[in-house]
Amino acid sequence: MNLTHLRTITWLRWRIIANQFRKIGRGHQILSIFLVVVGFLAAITMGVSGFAMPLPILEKAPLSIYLLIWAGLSMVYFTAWAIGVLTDLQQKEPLTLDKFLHLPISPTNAFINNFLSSFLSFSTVLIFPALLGFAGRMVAMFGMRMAPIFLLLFAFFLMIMALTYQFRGWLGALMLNKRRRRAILSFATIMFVIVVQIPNMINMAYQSSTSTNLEELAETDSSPVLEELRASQEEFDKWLNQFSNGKPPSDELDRRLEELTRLTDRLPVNLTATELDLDSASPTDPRQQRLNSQIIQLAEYVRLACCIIPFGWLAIGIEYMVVGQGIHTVLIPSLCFVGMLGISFFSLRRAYKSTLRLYRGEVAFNDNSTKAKQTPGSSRPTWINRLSEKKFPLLNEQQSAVTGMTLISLLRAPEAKMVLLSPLLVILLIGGSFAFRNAENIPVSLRVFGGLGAISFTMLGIMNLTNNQFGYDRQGFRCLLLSPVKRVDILIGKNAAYAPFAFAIGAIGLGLMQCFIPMPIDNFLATLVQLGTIFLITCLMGNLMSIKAPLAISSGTMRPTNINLSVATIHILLTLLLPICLLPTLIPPGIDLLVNRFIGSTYVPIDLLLSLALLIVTLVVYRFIVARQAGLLRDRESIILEAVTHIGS
Amino acid sequence: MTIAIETHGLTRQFGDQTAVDHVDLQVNTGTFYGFLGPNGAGKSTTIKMLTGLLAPTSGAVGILGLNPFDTDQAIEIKRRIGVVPENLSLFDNLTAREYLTFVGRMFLLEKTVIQQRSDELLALMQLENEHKKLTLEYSHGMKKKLALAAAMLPNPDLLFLDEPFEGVDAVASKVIRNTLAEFVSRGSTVFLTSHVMEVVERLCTHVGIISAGKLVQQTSLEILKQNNQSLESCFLEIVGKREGAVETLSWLDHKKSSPEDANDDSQPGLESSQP
Ligand SMILES: Nc1ncnc2c1ncn2[C@@H]1O[C@H](COP(=O)(O)OP(=O)(O)OP(=O)(O)O)[C@@H](O)[C@H]1O
Ligand SMILES: [Mg+2]
Repeated sequence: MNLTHLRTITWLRWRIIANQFRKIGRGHQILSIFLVVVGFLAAITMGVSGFAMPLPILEKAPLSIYLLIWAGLSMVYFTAWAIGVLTDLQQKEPLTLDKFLHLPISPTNAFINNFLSSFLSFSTVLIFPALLGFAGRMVAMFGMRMAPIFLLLFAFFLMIMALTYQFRGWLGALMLNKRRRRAILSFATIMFVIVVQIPNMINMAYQSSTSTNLEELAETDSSPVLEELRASQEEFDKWLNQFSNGKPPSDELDRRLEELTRLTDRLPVNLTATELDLDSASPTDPRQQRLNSQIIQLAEYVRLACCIIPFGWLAIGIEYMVVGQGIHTVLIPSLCFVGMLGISFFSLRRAYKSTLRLYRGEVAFNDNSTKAKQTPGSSRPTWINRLSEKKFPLLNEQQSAVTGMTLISLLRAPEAKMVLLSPLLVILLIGGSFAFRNAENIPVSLRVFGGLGAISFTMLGIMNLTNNQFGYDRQGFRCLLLSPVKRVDILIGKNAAYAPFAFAIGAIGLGLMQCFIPMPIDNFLATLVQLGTIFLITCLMGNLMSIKAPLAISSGTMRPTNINLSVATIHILLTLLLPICLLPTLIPPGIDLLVNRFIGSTYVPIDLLLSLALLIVTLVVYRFIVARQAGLLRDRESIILEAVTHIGS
Repeated sequence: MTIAIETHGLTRQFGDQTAVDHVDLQVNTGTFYGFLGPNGAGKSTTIKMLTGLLAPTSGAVGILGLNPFDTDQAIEIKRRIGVVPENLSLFDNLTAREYLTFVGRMFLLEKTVIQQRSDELLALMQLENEHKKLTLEYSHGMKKKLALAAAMLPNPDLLFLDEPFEGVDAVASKVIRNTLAEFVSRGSTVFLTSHVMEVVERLCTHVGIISAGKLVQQTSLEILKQNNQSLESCFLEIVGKREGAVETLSWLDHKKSSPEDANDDSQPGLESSQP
C-alpha cells in the first residue's frame, strides 16, 4: 500500500470539497459552516448524552430493556446509514473509482481509499457517538466485565460498513447501464420507503395488541406461564380498581405484586427485574409493573428477530453480557463478535475482488453489451411511440406536441413513476391503517371531506412533478425555447400531460376510500368532479413554482443539483399555500351539509351541481391566470434555462 | 441584398468578466458564415444571444430584420431559424424519431411532411437503425447528428450551428457538409462556429474572428484568397501572437537519454492491469 497515493487522493477529495465550497454563495457558505459546527457539537452531545442521559426507565425495568435499547440503536444507526447510502447513490455518479483507474495506482490502494472514504457520513458522525456513549455508560454501570462491548461495537461498525460498501459496489456495477441505473434507483427508494415503514407498522400492531393488557398476546402465545400471568394480572387489576379513590392496603399490595413478579420471573426469557428494583420503589407501582411485563414480552419478539438478522447480533451479544449465566456470558458475545467480523471479512473480500475485476478491465465501465439487441428493420411503433404524434382532444397542435413529449418522458422515466406512486403508497401504509380502524366512527355526512382530503393528498405526488416541470426536461428545455410556440401553449401542454396521472391516481385513492369508508353516491360523483378543480389549482401552483424556482434534476434521480435557500423557501412556502388555495373545494360539500342539516333532505344533488359550477369557474380562472404565467415564463426563460441545465457538483 | 444577422455593440458580461465585448456583426442573406476564435473567446455566448437563449447585457440584435428579444417578433424568428446549440437541446427520454416528430409539430408541419423529412434526415445522418435507443443512450456524435437533423427539419432560412462537426465521423461529416453547401446555394444562410480551419475554408464564404470577446476580423474568404493568405495563417497571425508564449515543452527531448523515466509507471500492482 502506497502512502503517497493515499495522501494524494485524500488531498484530491479535500480539494473537491474546498472548491465546491468556494463556488457556493456566501449565505450558503455560512450555512454550511454552521451545519458542520452543529454537526460537530451534535456528535459530542450525542456521545455525552448516550453516556449520561438520565433514563429513569433503566432503574426499574427488567434487564431485557438493554436488548431493546441496543436493538433500537442498531436500527436507528442502520436506517440513518441506509439513507446516507441511498442519497449518495442518487447524487453522485456510481464508482468514482473509474476517475483514477487509468492512473498508476495499485488496486489495493484504490480499494482501501474508497472504503475508508465511505466511512465519513452523517450517520457515522451523529449516531455512532451515541452508541459509543451508551456503551461507556454500560461499562460504568456494570463494571469492567462489560469492556468487551467496544469490541462488539467495532465489529458491528465494520460489518455495516463492509456490507453497504459491497452493496454499493454491486448496485454501482448494475447501474453502469443508464436505463437500468434509473430503474434500480427508483426501486431501491421505493423499497426503502416501505422498509422504513415496517417498524411503524409493527409498532401499531403491537400497540393495538398491548392496549388490551396482554390479552391478545396470551392468545397468540401458548406459553402456560403467560396464561397464568394474564390471569393474575386481570385479577390484580380488578382488585386494584376497588381502591380507585383511596390507597390500597400496602401489605396486601406487596404480596400481590410479589406474586406477579414471581410469575414474571418464570417467563421463558428467564430475566428478572434488576436486583436494585426488587426491594425498592418499582414493584409498588402497578403501572411500572405492567410496563415491565410488556417490555419482557416485546423483548421476546425482538430477540428472535435479532438472532435471525446479523444487524441484531450486537444487541444479542450485549444482552448476554449483562444477563447471561455462566459460560453464556462469554460464549454468546464471542459468537456474535466472530460472526460480525466474519461477515465483514467476507464482504470486504468480495468487494475487493470486484474492484480487482474493474481494475483489470474484466468489467468495462461503460458496458453496453447488456443492452437489448437492436433489431434493424422491425420498427413497429409501440403505443408510447405513437403518443408523439397524437392529437389530444381540447388541445391545439402545439399543445398536443408538448403534451405528447411530456407524457412519453414521464412514462419512460422511472423516477417520475415513483414520484407519482409514492403518495398512493403513503396513503396505503399510513392513512389506510389509521382510517380503516376508525372507519365506522366517521359520520356519513362528513366522509366527503375525507375524500377531498385523500384526493388533495394524492395531488402532493403530482405536485412533485408539476412544481418543477422544466427541471425534468434538462437540455430539452432549450428546445422548447427555440420552438416557435407561444409560452402559454407550452404551459397548457405541459399541464395536460399530468392530467391522466392525476385522474388515475386520484380516482384510485378515492375508490379505496369508497370501499372502506363509503359515502353517498352523489357525494362520490361530486368528489370526482372536484378532482378536476383540485388538479387545475395544483397545476397553477406548479407552474408558478416551475417558473419562479426551477431546479436542475440530474438524470435518473430525483435530487436537485442546485438547490439553495431562496429556491427551497419558495418551494416550501408555495407547497404550504396549496391547501389554502384548495379551500374553495370545501364550499360545495359544505353548503350541501348545511342545507341538509338545517333545511332537510332536498333530493337535489347540491354537492354535485355546485362542484360542477366550481369546476367551470376554475377553468375560466385557469385560462386567465395561465396567460399571466406565460408572460412570467417569457421574462424568466433564460434564467430557467440556466437553472435547469445546471450540472451539479 | 438583405441582412440576415446584424448586431450593434453586442455585449455580455458574466460577473466581472466580459465574455462578448461590443461585437458588431453583419451577415448577409445567402452567406455561409464561419465564426472563429480560440477556446473561451465568446463564440457560444454570441450564438446564445443571437438565438434568444441569453439576454445581452447591452447592445442590439437583428435577426432576419426582427428583434429576438421582442416577444411577438421572437416567435416569428424562431419559426424561421434552426439551431444546434452548444449543449444541444435533446430530451433524454425520447427516441430520435419521437424527437423529430415533436420538433416538427412545434413548427406546425404536416404529419406526412414530418414523416417524410424525418426518414430522409435519419437516413442522411445514418441514425435510421437506432430507433429503439433513447437519446440518453446516444453517443456524443450521434447526439450531435440528431440535433443537426432537428435543426434542419423545418427547412429554416437561417441556421445557427455551434461546432456541428465536433465528434462527427468523417463519412457523416462529408454528407453534412454537402447538405449545408446545397442549403446555402438555395439562398439560405448558415452561421457556424468551428475549430477546424480546413472545413471553414472549404465551406464558408465569409469569416469573423473573435478573440477575448472582441470581433477582431470580419472578411470574405475571397479577399483572403486574393491576398494569397490561407485562413489558418490569418487566424494564427491574429490570435496566436502572444508575448512570451510557451511553444515547446522543455523536457520532451530528454526522454531517450533517461530510460528510468520510461519505466516510471512500473508501480506494484500495475502488472496485473494487463488481463
Ligand atoms: N454561464 C457562464 N457563467 C460564467 N462565465 C461564462 C458562462 N458562459 C460562458 N462564460 C465565459 O465566457 C467566455 C466565453 O465562453 P464561450 O462559451 O462563449 O466560449 P467559446 O468561444 O464558445 O469557446 P469554445 O471554443 O471552447 O467553445 C469564457 O471565458 C467562459 O468562461
Ligand atoms: Mg463554445
